[in-house]
Amino acid sequence: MERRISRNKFSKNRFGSNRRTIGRFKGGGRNSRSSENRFSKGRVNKAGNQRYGKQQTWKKPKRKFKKKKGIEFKSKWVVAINRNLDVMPGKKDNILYLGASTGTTIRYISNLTEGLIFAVENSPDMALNLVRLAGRKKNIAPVFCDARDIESLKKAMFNTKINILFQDIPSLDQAEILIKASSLVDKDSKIFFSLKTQSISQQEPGKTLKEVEEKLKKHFKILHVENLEPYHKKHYFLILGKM
Amino acid sequence: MNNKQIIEWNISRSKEKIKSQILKDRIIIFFTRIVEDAGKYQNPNFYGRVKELYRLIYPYSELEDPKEIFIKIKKTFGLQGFSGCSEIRTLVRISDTRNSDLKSKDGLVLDNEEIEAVKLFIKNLDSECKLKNKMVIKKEIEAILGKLVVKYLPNSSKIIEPYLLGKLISSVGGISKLYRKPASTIQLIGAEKALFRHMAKGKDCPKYGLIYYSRRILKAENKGKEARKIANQLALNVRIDYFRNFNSQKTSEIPDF
Repeated sequence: MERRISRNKFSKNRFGSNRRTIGRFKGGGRNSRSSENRFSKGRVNKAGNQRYGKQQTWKKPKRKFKKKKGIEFKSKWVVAINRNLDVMPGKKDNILYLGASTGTTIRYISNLTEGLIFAVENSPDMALNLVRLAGRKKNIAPVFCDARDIESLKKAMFNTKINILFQDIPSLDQAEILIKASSLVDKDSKIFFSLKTQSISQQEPGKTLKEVEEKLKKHFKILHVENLEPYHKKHYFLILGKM
Repeated sequence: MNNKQIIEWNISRSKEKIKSQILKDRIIIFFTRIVEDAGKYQNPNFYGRVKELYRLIYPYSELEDPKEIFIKIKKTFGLQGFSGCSEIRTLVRISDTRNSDLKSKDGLVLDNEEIEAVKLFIKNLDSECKLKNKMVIKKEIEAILGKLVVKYLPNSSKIIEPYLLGKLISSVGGISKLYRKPASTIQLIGAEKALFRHMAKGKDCPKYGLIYYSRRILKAENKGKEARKIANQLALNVRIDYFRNFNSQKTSEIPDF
């Protein structure tokens, strides 16, 4: 926008004073929120003033953090698939997914398999979106219960054989939940575990990884550990096999 | 069982369980946020709030455009096309039947009082989803909110004002989260910024959060002491109200499947 300012300081306005009163007439007071007053910073409006060289115009302020686009910033399993790890599901694999939330990862993975996917979620607001998604897709079975409650999980599954177990729950007893849930799975099946170190403790992520690994060594054999940076900071992806 | 049968069984089972988790505090949160918006902004539009309400009643509908939802919610409440004396009789019959449709199987079930309260809100919206007479309707909605809070939280509404109680519930995210909290956290809800400044930099600890605006504290000389008293009383009474009015699940009533 351009605006003309009378350069003659001594030209009087209609009130008879010598002050410049551009902002007052058009955009209300100096401190008002009107769109025209966004250009002015101080007492004098410098928007159209070409005395200072470049013309100042209002721009939309930049965001502090860039908006991250793409499924890789949301899903940990997809990052592992893109890095050519041995995590690709087969065409007829049944999957038990603990901590599904709204189902961003499940939407991606349901296209890769024809088998059943049991999506377990505990909070009602997240599970509403999950059930809505299950209406559209043909191979998703939403299970609304706590992941620690194994008996209700057993009833929901109707003795179907599970090939892949995936766990992604931000809680302090994340490792214990996996050990409990591994009773539902046979020896042949794969187990994937995405570790969130900050939900366990605020110390360095390397230390918490070692502590969790010692817990898991008693029940599983650890095949691979992957650091998920730069997509997910302080997150690890573990590939496990049952003893 | 087939895969299809397993999926259908799980969907129907999870819908039942989710419905038991959606409590009547959602309607209290809905009206407090309307009053907050009307106080905060100059002339806001309520497309987002109307969408929230629609998703409460019909959680599994696939409508996402807020303008379509606004038109549809007017039809469901029997408010669109309400002009002309000859049509009134037929419209009243339709509205009675539509009230039964509002009690959907999946979502929140509204009482007759709550339906009338929602009707008052939607009746006073423009074609651009803005309030016609903001200051008058804001007071009416506050009165409705007071009635709702006294109905569902009779004990704790004696201690502080119903609007503040609604604010406490909405800031935490539901009564099922509020009743688990101790008195010391209830005292400092809304003062998180000052609390973490105290923890990080060692500045003074805050004495009160949202409770500060209650009449008892504004009158008192020693405000920190009064805030502690109110928070202690509130923590007890919220639990009583929750287990009497909101907790529909009882251990004996849960059926085995």
